[in-house]
Amino acid sequence: MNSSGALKVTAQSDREIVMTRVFDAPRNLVFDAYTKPELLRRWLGVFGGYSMPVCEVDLRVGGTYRFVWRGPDGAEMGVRGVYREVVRPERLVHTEKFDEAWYPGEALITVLKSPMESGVAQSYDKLAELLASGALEKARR
Amino acid sequence: MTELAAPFDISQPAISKHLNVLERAGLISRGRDAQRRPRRLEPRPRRLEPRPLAEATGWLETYRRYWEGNFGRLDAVLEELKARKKHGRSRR
Repeated sequence: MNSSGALKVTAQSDREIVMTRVFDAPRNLVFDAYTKPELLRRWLGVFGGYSMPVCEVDLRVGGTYRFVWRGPDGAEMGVRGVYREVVRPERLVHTEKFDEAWYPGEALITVLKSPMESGVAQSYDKLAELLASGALEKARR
Repeated sequence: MTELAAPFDISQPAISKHLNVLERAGLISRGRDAQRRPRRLEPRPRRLEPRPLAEATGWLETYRRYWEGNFGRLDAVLEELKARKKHGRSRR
């Protein structure tokens, strides 16, 4: 587990965050972990008594996902989004909007999984989040 | 401003431009005390405004910690998937 690299987080611009992380696993397994409900609900946001009772994924372009977390006090937090690009195993692009969003617009998440130059077992994951950007949304149309 | 410009190998107008950008972003402010001086001769001194920057880095740090936790758990999931794959007969 400690063969994986540290997480690097940088603010690329006003509305863009880039996270870089190395995983000691083949890309298709990382892709599975990002897209299969039974795997997602084991790592995404499940800590401090929070579980993910709702985890639905319709993995295709235009398909939606729905995640709901429930805390120890019963409080729920939900998020949904639409898959824009699904290219196994290297690329996943989806929107993201929390039910009780504290920001206007929606975020756009790009998960890139590039193979490392050394070591076939390693892959690296890059996640860029374009936050709440009406301008970016427009630019895509 | 001459003082500010000294360590940099760029012109004073360029420095001034950078300062204006920082000021618009709320990261520096101009001192009020200098208003009694003739403005033309001596531009008002700039002051660093650390709070917005601290807010931004604080937010980023919380974000980083949240994802570090996620990826730690993801590592464990991946280890298990790799082991399953290695031992052939994987349960679904």
